[in-house]
Amino acid sequence: MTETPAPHAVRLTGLRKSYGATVAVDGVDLEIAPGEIVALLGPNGAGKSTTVDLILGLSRPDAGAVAVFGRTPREAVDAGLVGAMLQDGAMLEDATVGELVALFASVHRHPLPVAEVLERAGIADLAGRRATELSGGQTQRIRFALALVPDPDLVVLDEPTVAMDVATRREFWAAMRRFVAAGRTVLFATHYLDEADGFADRVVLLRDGHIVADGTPRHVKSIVAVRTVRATVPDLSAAALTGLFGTDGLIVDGADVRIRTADGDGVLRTLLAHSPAAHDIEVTGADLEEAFLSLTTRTGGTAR
Amino acid sequence: MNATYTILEVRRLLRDRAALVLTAGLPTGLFLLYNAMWGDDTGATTSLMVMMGVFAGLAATISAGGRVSLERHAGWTRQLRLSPLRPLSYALSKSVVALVLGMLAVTLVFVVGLAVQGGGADLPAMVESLLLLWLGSIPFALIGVLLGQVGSANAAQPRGMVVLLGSAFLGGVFVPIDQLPRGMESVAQWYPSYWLNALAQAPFGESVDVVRAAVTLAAWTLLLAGLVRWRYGRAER
Repeated sequence: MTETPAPHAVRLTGLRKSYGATVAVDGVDLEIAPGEIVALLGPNGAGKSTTVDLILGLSRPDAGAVAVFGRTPREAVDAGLVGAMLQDGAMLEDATVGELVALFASVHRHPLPVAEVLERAGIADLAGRRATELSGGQTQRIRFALALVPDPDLVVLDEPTVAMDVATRREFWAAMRRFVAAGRTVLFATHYLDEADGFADRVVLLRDGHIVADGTPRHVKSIVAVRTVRATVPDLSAAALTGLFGTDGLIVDGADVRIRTADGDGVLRTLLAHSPAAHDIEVTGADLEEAFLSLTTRTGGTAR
Repeated sequence: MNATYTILEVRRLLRDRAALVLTAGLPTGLFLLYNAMWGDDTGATTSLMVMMGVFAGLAATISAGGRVSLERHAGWTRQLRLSPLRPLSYALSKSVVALVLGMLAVTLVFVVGLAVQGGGADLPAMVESLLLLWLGSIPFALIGVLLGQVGSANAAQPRGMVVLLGSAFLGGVFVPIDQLPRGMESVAQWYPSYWLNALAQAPFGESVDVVRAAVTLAAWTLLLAGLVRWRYGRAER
């Protein structure tokens, strides 16, 4: 790129989008600097895919503005600055993987060589296969290859690993790491806390179309990492348990006790100190949906 | 229009054997059937061949629009929008492919027609008629692509069928043009398939108002191209 770099890879201001009566994105402001790796984390229906569509110009906002490297999404796509991988971008029937990549290369002004794209996406061995005859995980990698064709500065990924098995998922993120080593910007939507934690250096937490938290993975994890402590506690009464842990998140069913907490270690220590007879103790991490349930009570501060 | 995309589309068309055989083969099959029933002399065979040639051009081009609709709803056009390829360019490639399919279907009817007629065939007239059918199918390729851009994928098939049957009827495929009810013929004269048929019959000695035929077909082609441009241009924003 010869022009002076725009200050933001992505800049969203007051973004709103509704589908009928459903408000999908409800006032999102977000600035992503070049080189950042940002996870858009949220449960299903949080507005992640809609936000991605708006950034890519696949739909138009009801209000607010989208700028990608200071341009409109369409201009950014045309200039080859953005590569994107959608969840539902279909493949063309009766076309081979190689033909699809060659097709995308033919419409971009400065494409990477087809062989290099296939190599980078780890699908060189699939070049001769029909794109619609592949598994979900392989299809995702074709979408990734298509995203790489313009050698973009920004890659936007919508739930990239959703159809992949564990091994493929690991390979995929390894390929992404190689890709971002050159200082490129990545924005990916996911509902896996682990992926956000493992790959992003910034996590934006989305719920009901709002940003509810924005910060380092460590910060966001401390907000959403809810633990459930289960145990059989024969030697403490319900009243004693309430005295120790409060009523919030505590369920007592005879001797069976369940405590939902953001501080699993603390609860465990307190429990063991007061109940020598406690047994069958189990500490489990809550999934994101549960974590968000616990967030509903304290959505006040948007920390950064 | 993007050449790589158009070539890829044509290659895909040729790979989809089942659809190819059905689309291109049906009019030829009908021709053989009708010819067995009514083709008592070369004149009757020629008429049937041209009628089915018209039908082949209409059916192949209009049905190609159904593919646009399917691709739109499957999400392929969404994927394409992540590239600099313009929806209008996509529509042009699709129109070319629809036309190629139409040309293949018409040609097959004529090749079989030639084989059936043997030595009695008027070869120069057949070539002229074939070329006119190719050219005259252009507006229907545009109709097919236009139909693919509107409405739901579920309704694409019946919608295409209605337009095809209407076009075929007005083009004298089911009932010869001169046997259409009087009022119907005056309506048909404003529709391109009527003139497609009239032009294709002309090399075999039928009289035709060439100017009116050319003007009607050209006007429809321009109108439809404008509609395609408008509809796909809107998809761009």
